[in-house]
Amino acid sequence: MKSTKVRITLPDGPREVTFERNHLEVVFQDPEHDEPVTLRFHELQPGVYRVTLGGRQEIVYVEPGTDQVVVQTRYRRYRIPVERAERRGAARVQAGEVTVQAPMSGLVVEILKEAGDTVKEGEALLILEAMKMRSEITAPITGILRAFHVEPGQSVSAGQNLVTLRAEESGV
Amino acid sequence: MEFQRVLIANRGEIAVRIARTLRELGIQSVAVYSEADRQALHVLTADYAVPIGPAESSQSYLNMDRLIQAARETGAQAIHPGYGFLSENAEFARRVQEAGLVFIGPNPEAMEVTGDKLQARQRAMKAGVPVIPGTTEGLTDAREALEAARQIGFPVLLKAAMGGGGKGMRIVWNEEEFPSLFTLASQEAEAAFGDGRLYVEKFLENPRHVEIQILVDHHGNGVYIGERECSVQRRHQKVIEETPSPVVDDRLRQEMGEAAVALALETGYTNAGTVEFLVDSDGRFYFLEVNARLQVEHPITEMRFGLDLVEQQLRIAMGQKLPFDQLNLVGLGHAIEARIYAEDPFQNYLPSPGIIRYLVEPGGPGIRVDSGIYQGFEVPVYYDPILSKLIAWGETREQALRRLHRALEEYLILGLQTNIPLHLAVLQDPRFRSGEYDTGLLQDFQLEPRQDPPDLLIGAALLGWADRRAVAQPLAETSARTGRGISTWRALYFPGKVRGI
Repeated sequence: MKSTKVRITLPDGPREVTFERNHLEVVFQDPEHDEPVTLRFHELQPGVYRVTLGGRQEIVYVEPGTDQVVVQTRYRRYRIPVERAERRGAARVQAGEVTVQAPMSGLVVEILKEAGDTVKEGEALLILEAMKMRSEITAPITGILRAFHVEPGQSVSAGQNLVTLRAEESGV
Repeated sequence: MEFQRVLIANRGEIAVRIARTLRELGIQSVAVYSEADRQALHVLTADYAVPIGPAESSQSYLNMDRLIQAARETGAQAIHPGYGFLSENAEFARRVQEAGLVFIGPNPEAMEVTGDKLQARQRAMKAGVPVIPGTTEGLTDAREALEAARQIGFPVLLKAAMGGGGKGMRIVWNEEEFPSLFTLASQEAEAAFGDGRLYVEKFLENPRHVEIQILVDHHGNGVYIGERECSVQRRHQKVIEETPSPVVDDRLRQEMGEAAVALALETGYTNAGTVEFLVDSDGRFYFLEVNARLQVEHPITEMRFGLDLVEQQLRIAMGQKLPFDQLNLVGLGHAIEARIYAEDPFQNYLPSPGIIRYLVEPGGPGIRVDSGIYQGFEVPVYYDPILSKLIAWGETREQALRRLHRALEEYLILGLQTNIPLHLAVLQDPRFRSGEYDTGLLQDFQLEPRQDPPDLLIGAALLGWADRRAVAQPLAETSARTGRGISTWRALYFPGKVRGI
């Protein structure tokens, strides 16, 4: 079994772990622990697992992904970014560009800006409607709008790319 | 008249709930569904199911002609409108009648009166029901308005006579700021509606929201069936309801109940209805509005009084007399309901549609679940985010709260985020637990997330990351089966920027 070093970002911050995976068993070494942690997952339904941790049973739903993995416990749904640790540098170079993804499935009601516009962090870019509620999708950074990937009236899925921005202060 | 078949002009949990009572009474149910609801639970549980159009409500669940046609095609004698959609639409009720069918709800004339805020207020005054003190006509003269405000007592609320949407609306706390705020609001109203006249009304700060359930038959008999405390609201949307209200005593209950029935008789109201009141911190109550339909939160009344409100609605609509009078209606214990919404309390309550990947519903002593979902169901993006209602009954409020908490912990819905964490937090809130809360409870409510074990999150994330290629294909196929134009999962698993592995 080959071990892989990844950078994983939990709600309280990023950490690097080394892990090995064999079928439904994951063994990882967190630098904060002396001992590696072994988790054995039992599949209940596609993507739904029972796992025992410290003697206590948990049920989780896992939605695989390349950049981020959705993990849902009985309490909460998380989007957890995971990337290869050694690729960090490479990823950073592209970090001048940020693509905003749809936080939920819905309908693009209105696009409020145009490609080429300069926007401030927090400024509304477009309006998405789902379940009779309209939500503003705002700029995560101050920068220039490179491109909209959707148009008004279009249905989008959760995670779909909406708009790409380039950071203003980016020296790239 | 006896119904053999009833069409339910609604969807989701309420359509399922109505079909259950129909089945108990030996009446066949006809479900209707939009293109987005082909696989919805209400369709699968009814005796007949009729497609009524595209996903957009305006072309399906709000399409009067199509609904009446569906009732005729299937030979239904009556239409139950549920809540929302066309349930309070007098025109629909009238057209149903004109088609020779029975509308299971109030008569259209009463719906027109109760649906008009000003008319309803006037009728309430006529019936001797307290209304929020205020001027009965719009004013343009600031001095005249100030005099009215003095009589009403500060703080007051200025409202545009022709208004809506908050334009021309101001809270005025004292006499000193009254003239300038009046001028400002009047100008705003003039600009927005071409009419600068303003009403002056008493402003109730964070009142409690308490409503009375009524039933009125076609033989002149009306009863009230206790109250429901609905002050746990977020942006005017009810979240938790309970009965009895912790602040309503027997005397207040009787006063409010008799006022509600008096209003119903004054307006010629029939069938089930709810009269909403605001209750101030001194225990005074004021008429707010009539909800001329079955309420979302009706099950707590059913649990406490041991009756089925949908059954009573059907019996009234069939022309039967109420089987009980006021003295027979004695509530027992305490009931509480938590509305389960597909929304994310950790992301500013963004809607969270999606596929239910795993579902374990709670049960056991004192628990009732009125649900519109099942495992594998894709919750559509087109409609209200309500998934189900979790109702708990206990001999005491404390036991009901304990049971609700236990059932919320038991309730496992994976695949989309629900507001269960908000319910758990409210149940822990000292103000809620003491019963000393009002409609301000959820303003600036801080939801402190419970910590999930980091090792669990890390292990699960690593499993998902390691599966990033293997799992993409089969799940994409799953979505193809749902037959929607756009595959949610393809977009998720193949984002625009796929990195080298």
